[in-house]
Amino acid sequence: MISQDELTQLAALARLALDESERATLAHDLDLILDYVDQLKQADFSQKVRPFPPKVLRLNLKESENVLREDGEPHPPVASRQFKVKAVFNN
Amino acid sequence: MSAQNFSQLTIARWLELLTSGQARAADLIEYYLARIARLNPELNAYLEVFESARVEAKAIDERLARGAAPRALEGVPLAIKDNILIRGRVASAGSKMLENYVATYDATVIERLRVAGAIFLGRTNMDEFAMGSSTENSAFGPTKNPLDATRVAGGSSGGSAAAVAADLALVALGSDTGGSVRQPAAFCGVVGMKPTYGAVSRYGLIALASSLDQIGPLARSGEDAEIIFEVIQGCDENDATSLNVKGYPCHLMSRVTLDMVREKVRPWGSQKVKPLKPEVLRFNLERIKEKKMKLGIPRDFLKTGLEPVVAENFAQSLERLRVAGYELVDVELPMAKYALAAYYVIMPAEASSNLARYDGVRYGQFVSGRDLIEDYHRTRGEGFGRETRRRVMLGTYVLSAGYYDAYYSRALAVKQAITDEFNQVFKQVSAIVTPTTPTTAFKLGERTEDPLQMYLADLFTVPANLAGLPAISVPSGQDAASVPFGLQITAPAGAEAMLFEISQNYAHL
Repeated sequence: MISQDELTQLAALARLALDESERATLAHDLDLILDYVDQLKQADFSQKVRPFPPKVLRLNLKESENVLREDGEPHPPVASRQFKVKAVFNN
Repeated sequence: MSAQNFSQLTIARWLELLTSGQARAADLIEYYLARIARLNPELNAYLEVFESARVEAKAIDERLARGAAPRALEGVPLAIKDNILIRGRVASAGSKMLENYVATYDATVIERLRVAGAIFLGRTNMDEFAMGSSTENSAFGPTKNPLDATRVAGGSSGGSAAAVAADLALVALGSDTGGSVRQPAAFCGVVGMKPTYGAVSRYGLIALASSLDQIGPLARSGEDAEIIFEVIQGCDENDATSLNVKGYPCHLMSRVTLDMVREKVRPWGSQKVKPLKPEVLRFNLERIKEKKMKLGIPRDFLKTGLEPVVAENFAQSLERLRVAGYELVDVELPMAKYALAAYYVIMPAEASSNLARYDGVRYGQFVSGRDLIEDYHRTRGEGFGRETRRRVMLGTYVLSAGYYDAYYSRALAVKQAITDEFNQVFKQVSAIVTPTTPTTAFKLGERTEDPLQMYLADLFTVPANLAGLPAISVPSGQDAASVPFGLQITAPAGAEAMLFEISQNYAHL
């Protein structure tokens, strides 16, 4: 059960203003949803051998890996990645 | 050109008419703009129509008149979901928060379509920030189902599905995080496909859940969906999660030309184009039997919440597939029953993170408060609709200290287990078939008060998002009141070609 205090805390974290009329239904809805997702506790997924995905036509997927470039010079500015904005200062 | 009958058009037929001089791009655009003017006020499929499509069509006709070689999608008119950025156009993601946000760049899929000669007719309605299964969460009114105006078009890509179903565009783009292309496709009686995670660049797609989102085509035929997929797919340097086939460099532009579409060859890497053997592309009964293609049915998983008429229609679909020569095998996906729960932890968590940027400072609406914090609170409190606020709160909860392990970590483990389970099952069968949705299109307002009832519409579609697999919904009939049914086929990662082959074989039976 989500308390009103917890709701206030969450709203602060999420930077959301909640109006009073909303608070009751929101707490109720969140409770309903959390009750539903609680069933994840029953999932039995003890460590098994992880099978490789089947080899198909064009992908040779193994594990996902981070795509990073080497530290070095930053990308040079490119015209196609820039756009004009309205002038905000008049001096 | 006299008033042409452009109904029942396909991309191939259109290119034939255009390149043989029987029709002009301008005529097709006029056809669609007239239909939109007549039907859209009632349906609300489009939030904005691009009158400039006329100018683009004229330019295409002039280009062809000068003898330029026709491109793969020359003059093909598309409807684009409101969360895909088109430079210089508003992209509001169905939300008041971004009501006046003008995109400053083209999404990669838009660039690729443009290069292929496509024309954009307008932006289509959607559930706010892609959160929803009915398009009733749009800040700009719901989209009605073209087959029954008292029913929803599905969501979140309801506008795109309705546009294709009502012939207000030749094809459309949507986005799919938990079923948002496939479910509205099923509800509206059209084809909708979600690619393998990473197959299509997400650069320029307003993010909902970054580990689940994919852009996918909606069309009236599997062939058209496949052509659009081939044009938009491919590794993109601007999307670190897009797939890079080992050994082939990432290119910004797709290399699909008209000849490829004509001969139905597939672009394969950067240098050479490898034509696939013709028998792969054509309906071939002998080949199915020879390959002994097995389709898996997860019977246990389908026991929950299936409406009797849907179950009956599904049984008929299975019979058709059996007659076509596919072998049907019962398979088990015991983890699949946790997929929806895992989804409604992971997706709100990622959404709460992705939507943190909407603070009114750099773009979007701004509501002033006493101080900066109150600026944020009021801007977000008023700019976000009810469902968005609900999911952001839920996401914040499952990621907060004390609950992170109980919910989020656990959901991630379940996601991995579901993926592993699919990989295991794909050792026995080539693809998995299920109904796309547990019910047909429900009535407007029927599920808006109970969020959980709404979420259950995604029961059969979310597993493919969690496992990153390609899946397609194809129309499989209509009930007595002409409300459509959909059949879903899920294939291994990267096996879109097989997905299209099975769906086209099914459709042509």
